Amino acid sequence: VTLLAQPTGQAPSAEVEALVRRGDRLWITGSLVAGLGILGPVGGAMLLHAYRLLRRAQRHGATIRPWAVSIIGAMWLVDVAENVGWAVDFFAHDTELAQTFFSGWGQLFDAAYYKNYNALSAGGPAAAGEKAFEVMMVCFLLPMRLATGIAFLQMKRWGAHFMAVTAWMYFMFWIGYTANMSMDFMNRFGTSLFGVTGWWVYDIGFVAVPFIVIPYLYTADRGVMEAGH
Amino acid sequence: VNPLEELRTLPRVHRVLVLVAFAFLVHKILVGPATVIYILTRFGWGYGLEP
Repeated sequence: VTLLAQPTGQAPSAEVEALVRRGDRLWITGSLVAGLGILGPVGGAMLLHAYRLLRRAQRHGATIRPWAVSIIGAMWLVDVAENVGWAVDFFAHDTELAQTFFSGWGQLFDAAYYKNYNALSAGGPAAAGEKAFEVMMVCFLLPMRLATGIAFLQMKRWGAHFMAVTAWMYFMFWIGYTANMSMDFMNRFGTSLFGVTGWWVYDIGFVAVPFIVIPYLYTADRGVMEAGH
Repeated sequence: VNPLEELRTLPRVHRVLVLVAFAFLVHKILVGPATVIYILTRFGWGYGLEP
């Protein structure tokens, strides 16, 4: 998919094509693994290896997708994978794993995940609005963003267009989420170890995503928005 | 072209966006494991378990 053209006018060899496909698959898988908590460095190593494969293919004459697209797409997919942690809270908040890490995380950043954890009817954080945003993200936005991130990296046209749509959804999500959590500020951040500053240091990487992706997509050249099929 | 050469050819806005995206990519890769390790070393496994 990413073998767009050959500068020499010759078709790339089957070996080079295979190298690009391997590099592509590894780039996507590495991005997803990199967002899975403790596996972050493993995903980082996979991304580095994918980079090496793609560079080797490039040196052998393959024209691969622009690196800007690869980096934006990887950031997007790492972000999606990090939201899987929220799915653990949503579906498995009674497990030891969830109670250990969410209570710990709540103690550090957002006490809704610490004080009275699992006390409400749906379980998880003791903040009703939080759960509504969790449903929005885990059941709808996360799978949509996963599909669009992969399609974007495969340079499919619908991937780029659907990324713009879901980036706007993500933008609106953050407006609602930050407004909602501010309503219960004292309870959630007045009692956490690192407070609201800590929350922003941890979460800035999530909140920033639509603010990077939206301007990029709307100013990207036609090669990005109209490549593929 | 390698990524740095490609970066130089990009319009300034894209250059900034890609650099910021790369910075957040690294931030995202590191923040997860760092938090997990911090929680385990500071609070230990089973912290927050219901009695």
